[in-house]
Amino acid sequence: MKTIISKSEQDTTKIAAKIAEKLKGGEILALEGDLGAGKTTFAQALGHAFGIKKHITSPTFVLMKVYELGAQSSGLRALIHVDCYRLDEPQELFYLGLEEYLNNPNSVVVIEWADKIKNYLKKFKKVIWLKIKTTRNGREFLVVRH
Amino acid sequence: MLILGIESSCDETGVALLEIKGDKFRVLANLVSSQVNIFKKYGGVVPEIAARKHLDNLLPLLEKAMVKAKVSPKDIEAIGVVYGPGLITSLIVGIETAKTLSLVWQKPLIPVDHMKAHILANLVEGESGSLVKIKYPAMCLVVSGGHTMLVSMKDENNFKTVGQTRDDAVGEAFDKVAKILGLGYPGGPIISEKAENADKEFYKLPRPMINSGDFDFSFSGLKTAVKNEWEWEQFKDKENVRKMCASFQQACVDVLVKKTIEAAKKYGVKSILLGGGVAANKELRKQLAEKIDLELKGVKFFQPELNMTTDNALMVAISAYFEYKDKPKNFYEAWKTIKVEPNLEL
Repeated sequence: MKTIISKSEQDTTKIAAKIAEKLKGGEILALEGDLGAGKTTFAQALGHAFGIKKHITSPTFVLMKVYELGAQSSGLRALIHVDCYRLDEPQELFYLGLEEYLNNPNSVVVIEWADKIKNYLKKFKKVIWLKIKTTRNGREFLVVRH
Repeated sequence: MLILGIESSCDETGVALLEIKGDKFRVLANLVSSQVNIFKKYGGVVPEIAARKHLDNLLPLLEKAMVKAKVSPKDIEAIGVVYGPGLITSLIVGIETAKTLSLVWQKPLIPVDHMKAHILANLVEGESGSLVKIKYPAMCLVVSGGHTMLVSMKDENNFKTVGQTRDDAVGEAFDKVAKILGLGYPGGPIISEKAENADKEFYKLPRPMINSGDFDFSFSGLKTAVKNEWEWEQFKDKENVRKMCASFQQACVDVLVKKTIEAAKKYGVKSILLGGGVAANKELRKQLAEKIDLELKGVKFFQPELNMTTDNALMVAISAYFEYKDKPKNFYEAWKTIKVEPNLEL
């Protein structure tokens, strides 16, 4: 377990870039945090660290957005941005075709409101939990690897 | 010609039959079966339930529409269907149904972009008459639960996005703010109702990106600002809920209106069009109309009728008509190649 403090959006960008460097593909980044904690901001920063030029917008409405990555040394092909805000049942994600990405060594999946599907995520190996908390001075990122 | 329109991109199933001769139109049927009531208890759409409901609703709705319009398959010239953007599971139901009908009835199939349809919803007013004549170029503000964008338009088939949200859509912000304030779903109508005659200056909220110099938007930070203000508020009574609704709504309207006016000036347009679910918002309609009147002399403002702001199949039929009329041959074999595109971009 590790806590990283972010005092600004720039800090969040740096944190995301550091995490992005370590991702080899097949990982699931499970984000937890309240409305406004900065989950989308983090996902955007992660996407930019991977070189995505497009705007990474909230997936709340369509639940899942797929971003193809340009050539990466690691063999990573896609970043999948998922939002469970409107979900009640994990099987909903199954219908969206998420499972084909969750175990895929060529993609990284970043999931907002992942706490809503905690049990479902237990069956996957490379899940990294990121709890984002707002504090008086900024934001705390609590990293937990299961 | 008679066009069948099919819509199933989110939580409304729609079927419409539209007859067009020259610039005259007649709506023979326009049916929508909404699932909003089902999703009120979930606080949002549940995709798999939505898809199943589309499946339950679509064919009966089609049958009802055809009986109402007193038409048979041989009267229909072409079928238009939304292929994106939207929920993949919902879109598939509409697309697969339309493909099957196209093959069995031997009718051309026209894939329709849901966002274009929201814009072209402005062309049909009432049950029959002449298509609304729009002077081009035009600037369109499209605002909904999944989108917030400014689109420049040269004619009914030429669209270009000039700005869009970088994070949340404005309709999504309405939904999330309603949740923060403990109000129901969908947030748009509830917030606008509570905001009526309430003090819209009471809470000091940011106007994100209002002076950014481009035509992009951001509503995520505004939602967070509401949440923070609300956490500090000691008196979370009805009066303050109303004031917060009004303050939040005004912050949204300020940004939307200012950017639309700036975009219209920059592109030297002759018309401004409003579209999408949030186009039903009374304050947005009123304040945008006032500002255009004040700052853009000679520019005409079009806003869709209220029943045309929410998802419907009539706007799909009219869009399909414009795609189809000059090059019908392109769509004869389309059923073989059409695919859903949940993240479709204009």
